[in-house]
Amino acid sequence: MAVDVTDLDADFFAFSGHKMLSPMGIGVLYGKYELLDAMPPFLMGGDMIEYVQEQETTWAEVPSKFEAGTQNVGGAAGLTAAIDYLEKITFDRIEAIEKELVDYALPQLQELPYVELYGCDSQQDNKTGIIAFNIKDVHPHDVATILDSYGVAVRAGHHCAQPLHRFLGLNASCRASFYLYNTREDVDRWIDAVKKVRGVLGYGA
Amino acid sequence: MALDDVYTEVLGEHSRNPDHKHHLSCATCALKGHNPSCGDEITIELQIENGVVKDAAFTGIGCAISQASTDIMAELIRGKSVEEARNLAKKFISMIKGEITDEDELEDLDEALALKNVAHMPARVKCAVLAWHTLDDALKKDK
Repeated sequence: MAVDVTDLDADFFAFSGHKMLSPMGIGVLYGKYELLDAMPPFLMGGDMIEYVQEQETTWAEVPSKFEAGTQNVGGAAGLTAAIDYLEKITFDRIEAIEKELVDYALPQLQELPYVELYGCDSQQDNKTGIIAFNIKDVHPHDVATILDSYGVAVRAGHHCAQPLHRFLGLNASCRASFYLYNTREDVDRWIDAVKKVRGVLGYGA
Repeated sequence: MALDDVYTEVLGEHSRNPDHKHHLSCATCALKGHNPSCGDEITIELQIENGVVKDAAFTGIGCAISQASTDIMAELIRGKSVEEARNLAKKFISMIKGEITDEDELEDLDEALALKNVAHMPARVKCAVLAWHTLDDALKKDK
């Protein structure tokens, strides 16, 4: 999803690289210059100082001030390449691919009485390529293990959102996320596997 | 690892219809165990008299592996001395960690042997051992 931090007037904005094809272990923290400039460093180390005296030290300029020590150079190069790649494809195109897959998958899932969907009640314009679901009587972690055995990777658990799960009255949930490399065949394989889950644990359809 | 090596009939049976998922009226100790990363949360209740586990039960929520493991454990430790129960817990945990693989040595784990293949699924090890760690903690405290 394209985001304009200036338009949002965000003081700070964070995103992780691994959700946009970059290597793991790197992300971006955007901050307004005045705020970053006024902030003290949180980590001491190489390349974040200006002058070091016996009793006092001055700090390097933003952003070096916050980049103490050896940098994750491989990660930074990978993230840059990922951003260039995605911008070449365009966010509009990626959103269209995701929407097409969601529109293809949802009606099929809605036909399965033992599948419970979350946040999928209406075809809202802002629905992203994520489908959160549970399968009746089967814990999300078992669902994930079973789908995995059919070559389908979903995430299971709290998804860093314990308060939301509590609000929804859920212990945990599964989450399938589509991206630009996914196809209708992937959706078919996922839904075929979903249909097998209850049987593995000895429940009837 | 084939799916039915892990989701065995024994596991399915115990997770669908656990025999010991209830409260104990005369529990002498209760201890809660949880896996924060996945949300499994169980409370084990024990009735211990003269150093013997007279009865064991549990309540709580979790995946099929953790629920079945807990139910099988409750069945196994009933009537065992505290010492024996702790040894079984240690043995089970060693089995899941892959430290003990000899079936003869694991024989006294009985139905819990059905969970042996979880040792090959790193992501699910925590589910299998939750109850047994909780049991060990509970018995340690009871001493």
